[in-house]
Amino acid sequence: MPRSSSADILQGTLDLLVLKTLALKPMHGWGIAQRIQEMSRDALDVGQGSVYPALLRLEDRGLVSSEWGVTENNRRARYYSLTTLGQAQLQVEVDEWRSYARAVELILRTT
Amino acid sequence: MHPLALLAMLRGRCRALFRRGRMEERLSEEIGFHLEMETEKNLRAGMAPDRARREARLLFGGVERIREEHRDARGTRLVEDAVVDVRYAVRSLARTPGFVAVCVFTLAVAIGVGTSLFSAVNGFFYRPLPVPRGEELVSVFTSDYGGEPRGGSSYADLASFAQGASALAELAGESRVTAAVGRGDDVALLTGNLVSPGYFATLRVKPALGRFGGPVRADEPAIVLGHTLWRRAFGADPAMIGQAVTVNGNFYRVAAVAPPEFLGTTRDMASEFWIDAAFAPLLLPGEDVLGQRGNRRFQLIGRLREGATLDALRARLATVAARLYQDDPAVWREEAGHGRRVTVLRERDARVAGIARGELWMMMGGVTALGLGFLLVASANLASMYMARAVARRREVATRLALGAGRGRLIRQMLTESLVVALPGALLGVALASAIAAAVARYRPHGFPNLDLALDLPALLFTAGGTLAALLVFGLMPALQSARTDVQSYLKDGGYAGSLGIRTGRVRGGLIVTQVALSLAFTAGAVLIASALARLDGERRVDAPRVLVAPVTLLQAAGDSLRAAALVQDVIARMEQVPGITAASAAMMVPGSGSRSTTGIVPRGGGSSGTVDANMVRPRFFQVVGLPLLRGRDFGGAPLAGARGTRQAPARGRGGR
Repeated sequence: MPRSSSADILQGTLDLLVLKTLALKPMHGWGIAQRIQEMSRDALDVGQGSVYPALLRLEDRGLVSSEWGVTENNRRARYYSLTTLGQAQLQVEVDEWRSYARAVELILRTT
Repeated sequence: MHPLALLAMLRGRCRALFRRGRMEERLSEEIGFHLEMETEKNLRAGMAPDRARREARLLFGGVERIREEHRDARGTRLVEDAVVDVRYAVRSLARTPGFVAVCVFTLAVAIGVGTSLFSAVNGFFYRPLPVPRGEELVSVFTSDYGGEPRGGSSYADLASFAQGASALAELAGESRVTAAVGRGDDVALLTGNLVSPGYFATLRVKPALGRFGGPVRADEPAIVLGHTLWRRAFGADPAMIGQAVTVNGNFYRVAAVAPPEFLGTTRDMASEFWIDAAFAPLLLPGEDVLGQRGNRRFQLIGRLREGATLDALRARLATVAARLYQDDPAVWREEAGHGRRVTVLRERDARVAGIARGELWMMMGGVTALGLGFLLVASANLASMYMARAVARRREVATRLALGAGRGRLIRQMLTESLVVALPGALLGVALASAIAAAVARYRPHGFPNLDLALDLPALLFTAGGTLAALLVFGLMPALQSARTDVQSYLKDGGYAGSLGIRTGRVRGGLIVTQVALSLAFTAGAVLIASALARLDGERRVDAPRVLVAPVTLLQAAGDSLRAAALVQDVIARMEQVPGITAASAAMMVPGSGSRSTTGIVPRGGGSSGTVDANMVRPRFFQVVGLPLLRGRDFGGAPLAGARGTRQAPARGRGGR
């Protein structure tokens, strides 16, 4: 499946989506990927693997923490959760995204 | 960035760097888990196992790409790459040990010599004397009308100053003397100092052997030997303490040996021995060293007490001096503007105070340019070697470029290769510089200036800067050059033609031209310096080919000036009887021998006074050295054919003020 140009735009916002997903509950990488796919109704197509570098970036920024845990099926998996800093940052980034989207929407509507 | 976030990032980076393996493992496990989960999901959706696995992988994206992205996200990519580069560089350089040896050696010599030159300049002009807290030292000069602007002081002045300023500073003095020092018949004419009793205490110098400042007994003269003298003349024998050596024919007991780094407080000449001023009458009979206020043979050095300022000391000494002027106006003559005065400077400032700013910059700039130029020649040399190597590696470079290596990455890798050579080169260079310093300290020839080339922080910084500069020249240039390899044409033409050859050719040509030009400049410079040094050497300076010079030193212990004059007269008379000698004379100083004396002149009836070079000569001196007299006649002799009179107006201004 060829990656569309929308994927490139998405790359920058992937971090935001991951944050948003983690705001619900701590989750492992696969779960996050599933969740993003479900929530966007398969409209957003990033390689699922991209979630991992994104998670590491977020962890680097102190927005996310991780630890080994066990799934319902008794499998070892790395669980990621939002830190306090991450919760605050999520709000900031959501607001930024909204105002950005509004601006783009405005331009699209007028021209 | 939020401070917490910064902390998290730093922690993350460190963790990532030190647990590289664990991070990779963690990612592998996560990817494995992910693919399993996805495959199971596909199986549940009714796919065949093969298809389920393939779809899972497809949806995940390239595993290797994710791994790379993950590495990038760790933020330690640079370091990890560098480790790989260093390994690669070591491997590839190990294949050409000869090349590496030549490069390391060239760089080591350049850095070693450059660092030594830098140390010499730095030590001569700026480094504090090698005594504890040398930066506290001050130099005190006095002058009267007509004397040097920064002249010496008399022993009696020193006593007055030391007493008057005792709350602000400790003051001591040293006076250069030349004496025949040795044991039995084995004596040598050496330069040393007469020093005031508090000299070593003021400087905080600790003896290497024996002790300074023991009780002075008039019947038992004592001497402190310089470390170099002790080693050279007395075989570094520890039993020398308490033994007798002869100084101008008198016995002196060895009280102590100075530490190796201490060579006196003046930079132009190293002291080989020190004798308490109390023994001046024995050492310099016929000269009133201790009592006569006009005998300004002591250089004063002091140490500011804690909390005392230079200005306070200046003010205090000026007060003391005002009293001295009043008590003894004959010794402290005054003329408006440049009469009697006391000058107080930090010791370090005093070293360069007499040198005109332009001259100082010339000297500093000259030596610095010499050092840098030396390094540049070496770098250019290395650059052309690296270029040659780069040409030989065109195939490797082109292949790597074709395989998708980034040019930046390639340049970084080649720079790493230069660094791998530069580091050992720099280390070896520093080792060489410290070996030079040790050799100078150990085999310091008599008359060598008080120079210590010991490495210190500024010298090491200079080395680091020099290495970096060299690295830029010989590392970056070839790297940029070969990264420009045109892959297409290179691979197409089978690797033998192509534009690379032409381009490197031009740069290499430039390098060779630079090298030859600089080398030529250096050779010329070296010849000039050598001939300048040869000219400074007195016996060769009078270059009338038929003039011979016989240096005669009259020790003051030898008797009074009348006897000395008679001796000189006798020597001249005997020389004139030697067959082949047409004329003989004597002079206090041989022209151009490096030493000179000046005297102040005041025109009768006013007018501006000045300082001129002066010499004392016997009759026929002008005839012997071949200086024609413009008018008049020689001293006491017959008028010279053709030339009459004194030499023309004295060379104004040459003595400086």
